Amino acid sequence: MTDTSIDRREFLRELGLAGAGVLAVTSPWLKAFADVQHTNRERCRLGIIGPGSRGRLLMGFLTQNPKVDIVALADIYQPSIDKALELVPRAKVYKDYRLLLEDKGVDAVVIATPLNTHCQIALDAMEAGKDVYCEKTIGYTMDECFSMYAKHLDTGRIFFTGQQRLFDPRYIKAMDMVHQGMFGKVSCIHAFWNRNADWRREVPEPGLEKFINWRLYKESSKGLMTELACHQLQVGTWALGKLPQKVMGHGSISYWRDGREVYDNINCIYTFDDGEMMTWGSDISNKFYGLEEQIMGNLGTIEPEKGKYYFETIDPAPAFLQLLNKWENSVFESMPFAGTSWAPETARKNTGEYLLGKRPKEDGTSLNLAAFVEASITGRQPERIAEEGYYASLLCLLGHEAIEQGTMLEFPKEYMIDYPAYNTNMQTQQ
Amino acid sequence: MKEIILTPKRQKRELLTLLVCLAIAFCLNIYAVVAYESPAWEIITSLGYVVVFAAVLYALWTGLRLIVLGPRWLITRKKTK
Repeated sequence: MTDTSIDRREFLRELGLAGAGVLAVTSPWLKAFADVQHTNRERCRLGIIGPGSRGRLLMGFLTQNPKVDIVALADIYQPSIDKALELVPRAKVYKDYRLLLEDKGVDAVVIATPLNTHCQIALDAMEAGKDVYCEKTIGYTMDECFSMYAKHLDTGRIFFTGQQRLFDPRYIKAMDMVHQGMFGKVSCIHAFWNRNADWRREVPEPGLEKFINWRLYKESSKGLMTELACHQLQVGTWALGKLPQKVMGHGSISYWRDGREVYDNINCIYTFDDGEMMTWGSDISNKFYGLEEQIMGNLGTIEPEKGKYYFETIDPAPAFLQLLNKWENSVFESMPFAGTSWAPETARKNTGEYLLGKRPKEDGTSLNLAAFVEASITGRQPERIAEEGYYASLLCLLGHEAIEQGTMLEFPKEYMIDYPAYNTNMQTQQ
Repeated sequence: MKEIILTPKRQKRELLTLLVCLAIAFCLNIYAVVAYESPAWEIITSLGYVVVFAAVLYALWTGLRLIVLGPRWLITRKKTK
């Protein structure tokens, strides 16, 4: 194997897990790499639909994969095509994605277009016999998500979504620990993604404003809920192993009042059948706390983004320091003018432990893409990948809908799919 | 500049004092481990604290000696002149 291909052993070692047996239970989609050695001579001929900034980021990973040939590009915006051609100069260029789909030399497509265009492109692609990697959120509406998932089942084409945390070693290890019960009963998850940026891009001419800044307008995006929440809500359901039953939320444009239509400040609460709650918030006028998913159990807390965990009960300070501390307190307590001075506190500071020995080199995006390539080559859809992406998208859209309606919404039963991992708690509610 | 001469006897006494300080600190550590029901390995892992505490103890003892014996030494020095 070359240096750029997936070294599965190294991946497992990084996770600190004994072997594939453990992963098969907690993260079965990693079985996508089961045949990684046997597909070394195979190639996946990829088409990129929407090689904008995100698309080119994905291309950056894909061009490092020796099993990938990016053979075609489709975009209606020439500057994006020009920049993408710098990465893959020999790729065919199409102005209409449907022509790319007619190209028999393309096995699979990566869709990184604006949200409101995902569904039609994905449906057409699967209908044309192409495997699909679609950026999240997969659909603009819950109906669209459902039809995309249904098309995946009908056509049997490989369907991946951009939920890269499913392949992030920190998250895989974290979830393994959570599911082993190391943090006790998880009752609360606080997820947030804060930035201090306007999210706006420079526009060469005013007529292109809605085209380039599509994330800021309701006709093409649902803002923070569909661009950011998708990753973190999926982490919540992954940790709890079930879907929320209700959601409520609020959103506002409180800082970036620059003509945008989508909120810059959002908070949602998702509630589960046993009283668990997951909050998701995002404010893009302050980045101090950044992004994190704080998974809180009665025995400890885990912060996978930071790569750390903290147990509730921590070891006391060494006995010798406790003794000195006691003496010091007894001396200074008797003096009204003095407080504690040099003596150490008896409790240790809870600085937590690292999930992995070292920080992973990347966030799972390249592994997610590599798994897609493997799946496309072998023709085997890994377990749970499409379903995790589907439900993550649904939760974003449901949260957005709750904000828009200003009311608490129940999880819509009509969008339930056959996914035993999450369906148990919903069935008991019926 | 006048040279300060530490006689072998004085050196031995100071070393002994330091050793006593170390012994006291070490015993206190053992007492603390028993009293606070801490793991026995803290007798070893807390040795750094023990050494620091012994040094503080030695410094305190030296300070005390300077306060008590210093004036006496000054008086006897004047008389001998």
